[in-house]
Amino acid sequence: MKPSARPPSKSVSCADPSAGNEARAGPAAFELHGAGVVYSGRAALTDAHLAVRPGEAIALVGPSGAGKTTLLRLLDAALAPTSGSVRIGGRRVNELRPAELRALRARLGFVHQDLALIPNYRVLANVLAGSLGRMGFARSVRTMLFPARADVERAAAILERVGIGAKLYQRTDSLSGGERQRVALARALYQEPSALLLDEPVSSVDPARARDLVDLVTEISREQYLTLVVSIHDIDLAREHFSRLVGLRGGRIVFDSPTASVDARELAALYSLEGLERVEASRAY
Amino acid sequence: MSKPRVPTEPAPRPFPISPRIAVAISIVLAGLVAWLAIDAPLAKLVPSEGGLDVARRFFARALSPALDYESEVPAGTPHILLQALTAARRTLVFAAAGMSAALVLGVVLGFLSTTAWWSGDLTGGASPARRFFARTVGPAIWATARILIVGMRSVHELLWAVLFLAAFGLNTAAAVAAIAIPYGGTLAKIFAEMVEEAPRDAANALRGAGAGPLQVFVFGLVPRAAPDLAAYSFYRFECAVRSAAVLGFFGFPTLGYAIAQSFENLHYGEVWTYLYALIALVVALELWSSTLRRRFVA
Repeated sequence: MKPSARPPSKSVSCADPSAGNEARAGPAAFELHGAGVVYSGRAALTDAHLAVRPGEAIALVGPSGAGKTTLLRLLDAALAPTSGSVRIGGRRVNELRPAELRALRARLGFVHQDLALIPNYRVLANVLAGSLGRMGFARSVRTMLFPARADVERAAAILERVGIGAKLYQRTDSLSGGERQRVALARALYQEPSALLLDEPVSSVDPARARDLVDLVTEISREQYLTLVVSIHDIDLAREHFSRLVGLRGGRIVFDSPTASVDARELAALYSLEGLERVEASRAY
Repeated sequence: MSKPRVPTEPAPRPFPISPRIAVAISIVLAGLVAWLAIDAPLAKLVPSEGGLDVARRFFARALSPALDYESEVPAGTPHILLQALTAARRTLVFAAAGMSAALVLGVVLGFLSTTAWWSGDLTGGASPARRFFARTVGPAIWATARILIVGMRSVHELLWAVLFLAAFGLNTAAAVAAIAIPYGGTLAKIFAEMVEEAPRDAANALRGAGAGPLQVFVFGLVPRAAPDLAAYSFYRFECAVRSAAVLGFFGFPTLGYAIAQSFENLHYGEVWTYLYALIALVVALELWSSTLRRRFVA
């Protein structure tokens, strides 16, 4: 475990949601303004305000069902908010034309909780699939069936970086859970993303491996100046690796502050069972 | 804010028995009605004395297949084992030709009769043109393909063979088409179902990474179904071998032709020789396909 090199973020803590809008050089990587998502009559996320600077790393914490995945899907532009607005790289997701939305998604690397790999593909093919968003159909057929040497080398380099360089030509389903997770990470990195979004990356592996993976992800995003948003159930892991924590509960952001200033009481409240019924009741639409 | 929903009492059943039991009872009833309608078939399963005799003589040769012809054959006729080998090879070739045409038909029609490449859930953020396509052109293609598939499948390969024999006479193309059409329809139907039911996780992930609907379909959805597609294709190939053999009864030079001739001449030993050739062929295929499946699929 290494201390984060990133200074605690002070500029855009979201106590006042409008605070991040002024006095900034470029657009925020992600900016949610009163964003809400309603799934078939049930509010999954309500009135979320959040701003993330490019290159910043944050962790989303909270009990399961708190809305972490929904929030991540908003940041991935995989979901449009039913209310409020979501801006990614300064552009409103709701206003993008389909082609623009595709181009935007191609630059957002997402590592799914269930990894969403193709088990009967070789590792190489799974990684190459990360580039499909950037090419037309004809070129994608060539890339997937007869990848150019340069593509293979780039995929190999990324696999090397995530620590499974030797697995390039192995079938994905012959790998261990931890290795498969790195394949999913490599696929996201192969997209040449500007941001990396990870949904519960530590739920499927043992604690030691989970720590290694979070180490790796934070390190890579720092090297490549990627914006990093990770949802983590394990609060200690989040505190160790991230300088800013966003706590969710019952579909609402309940705190958003530098890790150092998140106190034990806030965390206890986040995970306590008490009062959960109240939150649940307020969510019923 | 509304109050949480309170589970309500289930409505009382309007009928004294559960739907499941009702369905089970009607299936049994339908079976009974069918048996009665075709007039006590069991009574007719008692064989005649002559029939028993034929059966006895036929099965008596099961362990002693003919290693030579059982009657005089014209000079220059190849040895029976060579004849069986040739017939088996022709059976395999007919099956392979029919099956490869069926695979093309199956892949094309199977693709056209899936909804996954144009329906809503894989084309998020659709442009007006695509939405129009998904609402009109897509369903039209889907329905046309489905109707075509049903037509191809609902006529058995032997009926197709009779039809093509009448139309084109006894030529190879007729036999190949007779296999290719119903098999193409069946493959298309099963391919489509397998692709539609394949797990969508990878497809959704690729879509999330900006891939288009067709890319998602080809690289995210089809590969998830590929092991099943391959296994099912092998199974159908095996079926095609049997069909090709049976087509011999219409005069095509496959194992069925040899079997029919020997049977008519009451040369049961020869029949068994050819039957064993067919069994050996099917077993060899099964071994080959299971080896391939172990290497590539499992």
